[in-house]
Amino acid sequence: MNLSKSSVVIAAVIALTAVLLVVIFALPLLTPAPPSTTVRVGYLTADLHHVAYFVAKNKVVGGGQSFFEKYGVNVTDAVPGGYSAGSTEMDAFAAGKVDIGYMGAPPAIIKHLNLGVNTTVIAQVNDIGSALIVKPSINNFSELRGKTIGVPSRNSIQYFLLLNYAERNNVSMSDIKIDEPLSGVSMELKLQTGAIDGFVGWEPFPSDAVYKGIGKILATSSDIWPHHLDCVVVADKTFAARYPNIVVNFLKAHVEATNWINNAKLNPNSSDYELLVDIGVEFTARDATVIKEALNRIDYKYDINLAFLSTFIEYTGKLIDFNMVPSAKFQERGYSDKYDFADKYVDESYLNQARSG
Amino acid sequence: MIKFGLSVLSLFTFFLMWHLIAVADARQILPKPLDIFTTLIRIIVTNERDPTPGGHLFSEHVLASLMRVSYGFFLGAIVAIPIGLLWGWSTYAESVSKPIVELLRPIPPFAWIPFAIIFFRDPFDAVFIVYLAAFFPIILSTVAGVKAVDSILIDAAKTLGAGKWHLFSKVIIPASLPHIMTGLRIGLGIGWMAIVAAELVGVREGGLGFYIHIMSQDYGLYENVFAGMFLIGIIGFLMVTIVIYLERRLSRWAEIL
Amino acid sequence: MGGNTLIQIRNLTKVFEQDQARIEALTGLNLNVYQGEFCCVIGPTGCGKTTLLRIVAGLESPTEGEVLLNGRKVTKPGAERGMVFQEFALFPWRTTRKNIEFGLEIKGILPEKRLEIVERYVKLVGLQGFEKALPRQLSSGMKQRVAIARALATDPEVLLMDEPFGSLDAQTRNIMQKELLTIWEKTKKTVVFVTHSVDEAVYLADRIVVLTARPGTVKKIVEVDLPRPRDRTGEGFYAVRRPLLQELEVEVEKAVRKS
Repeated sequence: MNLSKSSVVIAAVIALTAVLLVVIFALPLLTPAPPSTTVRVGYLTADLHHVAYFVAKNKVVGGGQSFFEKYGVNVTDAVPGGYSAGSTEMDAFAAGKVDIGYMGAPPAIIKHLNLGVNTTVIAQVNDIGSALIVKPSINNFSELRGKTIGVPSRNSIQYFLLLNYAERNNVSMSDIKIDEPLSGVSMELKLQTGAIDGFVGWEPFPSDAVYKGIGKILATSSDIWPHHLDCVVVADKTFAARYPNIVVNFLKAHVEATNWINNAKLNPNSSDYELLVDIGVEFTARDATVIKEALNRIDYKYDINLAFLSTFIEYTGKLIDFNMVPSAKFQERGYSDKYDFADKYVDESYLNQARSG
Repeated sequence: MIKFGLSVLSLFTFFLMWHLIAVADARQILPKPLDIFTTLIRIIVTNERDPTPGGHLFSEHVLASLMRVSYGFFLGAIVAIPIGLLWGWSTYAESVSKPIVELLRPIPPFAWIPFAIIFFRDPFDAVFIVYLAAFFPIILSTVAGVKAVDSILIDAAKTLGAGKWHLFSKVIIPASLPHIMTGLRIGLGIGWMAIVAAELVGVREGGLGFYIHIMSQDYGLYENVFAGMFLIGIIGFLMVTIVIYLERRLSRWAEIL
Repeated sequence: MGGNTLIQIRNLTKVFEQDQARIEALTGLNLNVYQGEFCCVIGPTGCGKTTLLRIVAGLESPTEGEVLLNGRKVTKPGAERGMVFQEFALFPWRTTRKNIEFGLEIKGILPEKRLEIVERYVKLVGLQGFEKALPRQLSSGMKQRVAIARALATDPEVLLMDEPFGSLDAQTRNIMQKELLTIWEKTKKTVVFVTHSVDEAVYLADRIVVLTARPGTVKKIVEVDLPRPRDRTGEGFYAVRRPLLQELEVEVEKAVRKS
């Protein structure tokens, strides 16, 4: 077989072009983004669970300087207004757009395991704080057969609460239609127009829906699953490895903010409480009355303790049971079982340093 | 023989590059070709159910998309062909139909999705999108087909006693058929793309586009995402191939097309 | 000829208005066509002979004057005036059989009867074995045979032929002329045949109508008494041919000077 000179040249040109293309496209994947000490913070849109972030940013709270400033941390919103759901935020982590973020535990688990997002859980944010809201005409869960329920996403806490409640009421999930992804605002709007028959959303939207007469609470999340773990603080491991001190200082601010919030809640007549409500009103765009009601339904805590870990492990177990995380993926990431996973994926070291120092 | 070898080599190199990029990716997001392939086989052979209680079987997704595209396509054809025939035949009909069609045509079907999702109930929202996607190529091809009918055939038919109705049914329609078939082929191709887009963005009751959405957004299982993507491509290809076959069979009489 | 007058063309004028141009194709044309005759119309290019035929067919309408068939005015096309076109105009999606059947379908004739009629005409034009062929599979000569069979199948009163052999090569043309005469003798149809070939006209016609250059009108009518089949190289043939060619040449020059 004789190859003429021209065809060899053509082949060489093609090969060279191919190699060049590979290099051009693969290079950004292989080279990291330029380092920056400003923390890009992710959170969920109008999610009152994440108010600690806004408290820690607020100068009035800290008496002239914010908690973040106090501990020397520069923060910026990773995306203005926040992400629509935890799964979207995890996608942003995967894309390298977020350094530290607030989100629900299930997406933090699922996307790390399935997609291999290089994150670690470093603190708690809250537990409970969601509710199942339905049309005023619906009185019990079995009436939701054949109806549509809105959730932020299929791997959100809210969805898990729905699964849990359905199981308890002996209703098969194949009898329920799911509408997602929905923002809190969309949930209320769709409930109002009748496009959906109910939703499971994070505060303040349940309270807001009740306040506006759009729907009623069929069950709060603590009714459904008492003390269920809700949101966590997640950090990008590369960022954490590069700037462990910043992460620790971030958590110092988070801890102080959480303490401040709980203190304010205990003293509803104080100016701190008013300030807390104002902060809530501002970033969720809901009325003060709604925020006050919503605050009562959320337990803010930062601790990584046994209660935290046991729900964490429970979530993980359920995910594997439902095959939302194929067991192959579990092994691929290097975990032997759910306990091993909780052990390795949750990193208390930063929190411990934040609290001791 | 050499050419065949080159083609094989080219494909092999392509997948090899893919594999290498996937391996080199520090974030491990891009799935490897072999994993995608095994996933595709697995979800088809085991008719895998979505990893969530009450989730659909994979076959349900495929059927949902196929049904929606079929309804929308047939609806588009049934409406577009008669209007197109009239438009091509009568300048009065043209004056009536042309402005509306030309106004709406430049809008990509995908742009209608946000509206369709809230205005129609499932499955009509998706069907509407496919209908729009198929409608325009079909009507324009039909019009072109009618206008391309050689006037001498009309003359001949008239001298054989054909009145308006016979001219239409015995000359215009059979003569336009090759053009209409081309329009159908294009309409089906665009309709299939449109249904996937609609399902990806808004439709919530199963479908291959929906499958890609949940596999990426909710579960982050990108082997499944790519497997779904390839299957979408394969199905689209098969559908169009069938239409091309019909197109050729029905146009065998045409000397030049 | 002495047969009945089948077609009367009286004072026919046709003017085409296209944008700003005004084209007088025919002017004050008078002509009678007799039952059973083979009438050829010749003239220089652009003299309006095709227009004349189309008006008789009803495909165009006159600006002034009228055409009468059996005393009734012609206003639109109809199967009683069958036409054969230079471009064959066969329906490409129909087989030979189905092409010939076309006019019969329109008449509402039942399938079994249609088949019978089609068979007859297939035999008449000598296309046995090609009933199921599509036009693209046929040679030009065969296509024109199908066209002739198709026009005759509806049993028209007159067969109008617009330079039907113009697209054929010389040999096929000669063969087709002979065949046409055979068919004509068998069916005894009245034929109006337009051509610009004097040879063809002399070979085929009982009468030859010479049209002037545009605007066309009847210049001269020549009767051809030669017995058929005619010898193209014979003395009698030349005798008719020569003066016709001269007349035609005059008109052709006029047409050329005009343009």
